[in-house]
Amino acid sequence: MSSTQTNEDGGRRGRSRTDGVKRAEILAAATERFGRDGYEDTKWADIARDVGVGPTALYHYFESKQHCLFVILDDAIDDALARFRRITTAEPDSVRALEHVLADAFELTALDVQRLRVLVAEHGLLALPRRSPREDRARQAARGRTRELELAWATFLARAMEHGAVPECDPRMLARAVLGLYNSIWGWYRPHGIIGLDVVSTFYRARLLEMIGVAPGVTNALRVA
Amino acid sequence: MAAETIEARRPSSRSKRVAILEAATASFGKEGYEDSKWADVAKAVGIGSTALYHYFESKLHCLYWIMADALESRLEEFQQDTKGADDFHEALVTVLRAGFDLSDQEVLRNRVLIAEQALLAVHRTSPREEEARQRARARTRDLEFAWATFLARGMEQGAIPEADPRLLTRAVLGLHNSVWHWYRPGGDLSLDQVSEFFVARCLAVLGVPAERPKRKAAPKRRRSATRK
Repeated sequence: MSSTQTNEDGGRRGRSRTDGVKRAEILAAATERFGRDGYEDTKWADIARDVGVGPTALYHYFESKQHCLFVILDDAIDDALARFRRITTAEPDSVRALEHVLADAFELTALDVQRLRVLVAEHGLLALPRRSPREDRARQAARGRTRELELAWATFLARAMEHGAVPECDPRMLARAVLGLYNSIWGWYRPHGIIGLDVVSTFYRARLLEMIGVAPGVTNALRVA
Repeated sequence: MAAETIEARRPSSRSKRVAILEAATASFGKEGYEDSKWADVAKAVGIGSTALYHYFESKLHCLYWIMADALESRLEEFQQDTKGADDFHEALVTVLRAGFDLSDQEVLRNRVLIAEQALLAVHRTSPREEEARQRARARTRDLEFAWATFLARGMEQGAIPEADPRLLTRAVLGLHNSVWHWYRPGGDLSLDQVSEFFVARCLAVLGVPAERPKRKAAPKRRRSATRK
């Protein structure tokens, strides 16, 4: 959760320590509500109440509910990207790096899961320009970060293909398939539901590896495509 | 079809409803649901807001109809493609391909369905909205159930490796649905390319060795939605 405090409006003015804490609290409260009740049905005033600030104070941090949402999305993607980079730069072997990345992608707190749920549910809003400059800046930041994550995956997969670790195919489409399959989990998975995260992790990691074509036995099948 | 419930009785009334649904799908699919103006949909169809209200109480009510209809036609098609098929593998490849054999209008509808999925989870106080929402939710469950049953049959026959059929269903549907987040008709990838790539990936997810696919074109649609 590296750059939560820096990636949007970062250089506006020096933020004090308490400022940053309050901002993180607002983001956590909003993530929890958006993830649980849905973005549309969450009232901005409820978030203010959760954190114990008035609407004027809230406005100091975020211009609107939408602005706050875009920052949450950006943080979620930025976090995934940072984790992905940390692992793939440390591990030179593509297959092992892939296994680490996938295992790490399920090492999530309940709040992380809610954030991913918000990301998947509201991702479509990133495509629509906003009139407010602050909102639109946050939107574009999150949108750019999505492309960065896709590109990081595609580059990684292309390199793995060069090394013969992954069967040849269009790495951009494969990146989209990997991210699409992974993200689809957060459309239905809920923290503390019937199915545990460990079950989901085991199941989906195996499917993702087979889809990429690194599991034994599937490699040949994928060459046909 | 359950679609024709309360209001769609006279043929003229039904065609007007279809026109509204199509205009709304185009608008939601292109501009996004949130940014679409309900009044613009009325204008596109050439009716006033009072008349519009006769068909749909609100933009949300209309959205739920679009979603329910999309799911209903997917379910119908799935059942047709799998019913009485004795070769599991062939039926599997047919349904996976059919999932990408879509008109531009159907692609837009899928995009709306996927983009606004989260709105299905929230209970509505308006009875009409809630009825349409419940219909869409029921069809989602029906579709998942039909897939899980189909996959369980494949496991019994030894055509696909044993696994939790419900989780496997979610994985396959999740992978298929993810395409509509980014695919745009007329973009640099054709739907055929996307189909070929993703059908093979779906088979890999299922643990099925992809035999050389038979290269005949998937059977053409018989449904009215193709007309656009």
